[in-house]
Amino acid sequence: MAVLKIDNVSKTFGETRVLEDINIAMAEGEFLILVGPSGCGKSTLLNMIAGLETISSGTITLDDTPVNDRSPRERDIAMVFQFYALYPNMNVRKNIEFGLKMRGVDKGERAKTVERVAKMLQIENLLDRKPAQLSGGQRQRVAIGRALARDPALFLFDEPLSNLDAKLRVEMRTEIKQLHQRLKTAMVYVTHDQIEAMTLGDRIAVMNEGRVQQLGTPHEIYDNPANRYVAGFIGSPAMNFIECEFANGSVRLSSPEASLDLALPEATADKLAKHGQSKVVMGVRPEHLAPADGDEANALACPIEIVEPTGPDTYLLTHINDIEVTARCTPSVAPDVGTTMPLTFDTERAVFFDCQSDERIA
Amino acid sequence: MAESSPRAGKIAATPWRRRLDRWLPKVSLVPSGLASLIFVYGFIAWTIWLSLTNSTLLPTNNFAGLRQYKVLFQLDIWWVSVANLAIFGILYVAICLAIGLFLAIMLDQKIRAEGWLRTIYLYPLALSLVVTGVVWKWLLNPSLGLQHFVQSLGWTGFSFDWLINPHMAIYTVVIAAVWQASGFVTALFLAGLRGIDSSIIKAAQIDGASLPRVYLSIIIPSLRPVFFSAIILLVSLAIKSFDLVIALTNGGPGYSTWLPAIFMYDFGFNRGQIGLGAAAATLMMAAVALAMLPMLIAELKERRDGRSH
Amino acid sequence: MAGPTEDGIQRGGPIARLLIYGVLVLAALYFLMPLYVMLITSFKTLPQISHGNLFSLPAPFSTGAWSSAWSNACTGSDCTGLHRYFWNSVAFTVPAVAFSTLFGAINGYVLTKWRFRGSELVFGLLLGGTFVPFQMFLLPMARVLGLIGLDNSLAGLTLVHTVYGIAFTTLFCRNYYVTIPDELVKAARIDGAGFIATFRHVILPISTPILMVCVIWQFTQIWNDFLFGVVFTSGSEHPITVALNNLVNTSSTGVKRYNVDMAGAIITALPTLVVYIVAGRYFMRGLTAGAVKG
Ligand SMILES: Nc1ncnc2c1ncn2[C@@H]1O[C@H](COP(=O)(O)OP(=O)(O)OP(=O)(O)O)[C@@H](O)[C@H]1O
Ligand SMILES: [Mg+2]
Repeated sequence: MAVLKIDNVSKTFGETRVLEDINIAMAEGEFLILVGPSGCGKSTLLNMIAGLETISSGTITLDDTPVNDRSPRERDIAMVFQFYALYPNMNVRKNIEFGLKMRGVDKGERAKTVERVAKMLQIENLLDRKPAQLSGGQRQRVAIGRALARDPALFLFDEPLSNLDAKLRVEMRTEIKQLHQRLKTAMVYVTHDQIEAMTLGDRIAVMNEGRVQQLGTPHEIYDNPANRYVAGFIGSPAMNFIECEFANGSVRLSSPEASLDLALPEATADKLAKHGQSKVVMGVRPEHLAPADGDEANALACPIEIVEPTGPDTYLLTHINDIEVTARCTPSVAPDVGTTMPLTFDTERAVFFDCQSDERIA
Repeated sequence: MAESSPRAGKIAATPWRRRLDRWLPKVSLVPSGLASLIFVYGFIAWTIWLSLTNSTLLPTNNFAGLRQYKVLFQLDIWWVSVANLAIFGILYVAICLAIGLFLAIMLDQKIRAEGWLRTIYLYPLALSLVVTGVVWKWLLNPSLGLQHFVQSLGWTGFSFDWLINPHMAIYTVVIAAVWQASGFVTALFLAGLRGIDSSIIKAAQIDGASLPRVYLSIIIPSLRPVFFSAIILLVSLAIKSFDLVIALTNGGPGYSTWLPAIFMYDFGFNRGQIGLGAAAATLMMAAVALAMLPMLIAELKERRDGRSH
Repeated sequence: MAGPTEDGIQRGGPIARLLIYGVLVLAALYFLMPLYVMLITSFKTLPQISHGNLFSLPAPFSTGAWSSAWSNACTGSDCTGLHRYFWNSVAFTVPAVAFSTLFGAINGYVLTKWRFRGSELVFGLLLGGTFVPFQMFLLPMARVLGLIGLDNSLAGLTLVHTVYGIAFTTLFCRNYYVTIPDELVKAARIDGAGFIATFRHVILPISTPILMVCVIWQFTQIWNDFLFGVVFTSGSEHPITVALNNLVNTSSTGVKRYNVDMAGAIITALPTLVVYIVAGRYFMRGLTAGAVKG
């Protein structure tokens, strides 16, 4: 049974098309991430699920009931907002129980729920405070508590952590994950932070310009990006995109100092051959472009221009086919700037895109 | 946790309730929108229409073209009213601006009792213009007011009888009106001064400019928007002036302090010349619109510039 | 000599400072003088007025003028003092302030949190009306009030003041509600609150400052109004401003009683003056907000 089904949904504001043909189905208990750049329509989609925005075309189904014309109060959902949206005139207790009150839950029941939620989020000592007397992290906790109190069929989160400082963000991220594991309620979580997306999601929908570019598990998204946009959006440092000529089962790569015909695995070469265009874009993640370990036959000698130590890894910057690329190595083998180093390509993991359409070829 | 409490869940709604939810916001604007359409725009049209009829004691629908305006322009009292408005308006605006700017600059010098002073400067605005008129009528009363007071100090030749002097009475209106509004203009300018970045002043002083120089060449020019809104405000207040004159001079001596607003009231309601009253009102509205024009143009320009960037 | 103050700006030396304070105090005296004269005159007797001077304190203190102004001074043809007109003013000011503030709050709420196609148009209509001189409305309104049987009545004045006050209260509230995050309303809707419940439980409780501005602005405007009062009412239905004018300017019988005039003026001014002193902060905010589009 699908908790949430979004079928061919589009949204226009006046003349502008904000969302186009969105299709997502969510299983019970799933944690779905919507990720994408600012302005791509994530909040709009979430608001449509919540009933806060009208649906221009298509259908949204909750618990197998189409809800296009239902107001938020008729949908069994709760939402946590980026700027907390706590009612400033009510103390924490009243904030948490407001949704229950509006739904006619009696006083005793409400008190019990507030107690349970406060305990779960460790905010018992804050219950009598006003939102203005809370820190950012505490406010976000209360906002989550307000959603929890309702015990809805579906939680919606709209960038709930983007207002917190880095350390708190990591802590809260873990807590939300634990919460989900405990409640096993379906959640839709909007973020533009790819780490959040990767760590929290059962599945991720990568969005851009009003479309879902790819919907899949974090692994699928990372290892098998559907197009160049998804490949570039997920992963940090970003994937290297090297334009190159494909001929006879290999691609031609050149650094300022050397050239190499890199032989591709058979399956990949077949797909590229079938595609029929010689000019392609090769995508290689930095961790799949590393200093050669002895075997230099399939390596390209590259002058290292910049060395960036980050602690666990060191990144090396150089140019291949006149494009700046990043390679990753362990700090112990990091070379000095200016030295020339042979780099090898993990051809099994490399992906290829069409030059024009940016769609995945192989 | 689900077992410990019943699901609050969703609320079933009847179609009727759903329709209500959708329409309530729109419906709640209807009274105001309707009232505005009828009582503002409808009435404007109605008054303009009346000014084009030959209505006298009772409104009629006999179209008379611009006859009322022709009659109006041949009436000496109308031109007296217009001339008075010009004198009053110009002096009122100019003096209010001068006093307002001066006091605001003085108040902006880190004054200890600023809050108190501001409260004192501003209180006249809380008074009814009728009260202001009554007070100044008493102060300007030649036999017992200020003239009498100065004379009793020994300066027996002192004369200040403007209130009963047809040539000077309009200036008493200026005196009272300025007293009422200049504190408000002070507050406007003070708010404007507070909006100026003080580091500009410091920078100018480091460059060797004296404080008066800084005011003249940096601060006052940057108060342009305040001048703008203060002038528009004062001009439209001047055009609408009515209560003060009624209470202070009742238009007299003779017609010497009539203003278009008094003309409109007197012809429209006392003399049974509805058409003329409507014509006077229409011209007053046109005058206010004219005064607003610069602001509208500036706003439109700003919007266009804002878009092109 | 001149030295930098804590804000780092060079100001004049002590003599210049003294001069500035002198000017400011003089200005304060100028603004206060009429109030002072009004007060002392109201406590004088007529002989004291005609023989003493304008600024001298009353000796002895007499409250005769006050009781006369309140209960038996002549305002035109009848001589019952200002008290009934005072209560007239209360009777239409209070409901007109309440209605126009309520409508303003609801309008502001819809215009910012429940926008729909055409809502901006309604706002534009309301705003446009604030520029028009009231003289444009007098003749038609007199006619309409007559037609619906509200001419010469406090109910009629209530209607007029409500109608022409809504544009201002709407403007104030809209500008305030724009600063309240939309997410608050979204959260309330998700929590199950509809249009009314959101307004009642979420918006209204945080509207106190702007409601104060509306109430004070409207109260001052309506209480002080003279034009509508003189045009739409007559005789016993007059508001206090009109009655005061009649008290002062229809000297039908005998000597002019300046002390009674002044007491009457203070009685008329007192309510708005008290409001100004108690809640001047909000008064100022309303002024500047109203001034921008006044
Ligand atoms: N009410 C509206 N009217 C017109 N356009 C709108 C409206 N709301 C949103 N948009 C537009 O729709 C697009 C998507 O907005 P949305 O808020 O959904 O983006 P988002 O992905 O949530 O971005 P962010 O990460 O910055 O929150 C934006 O281009 C925005 O300008
Ligand atoms: Mg968003």
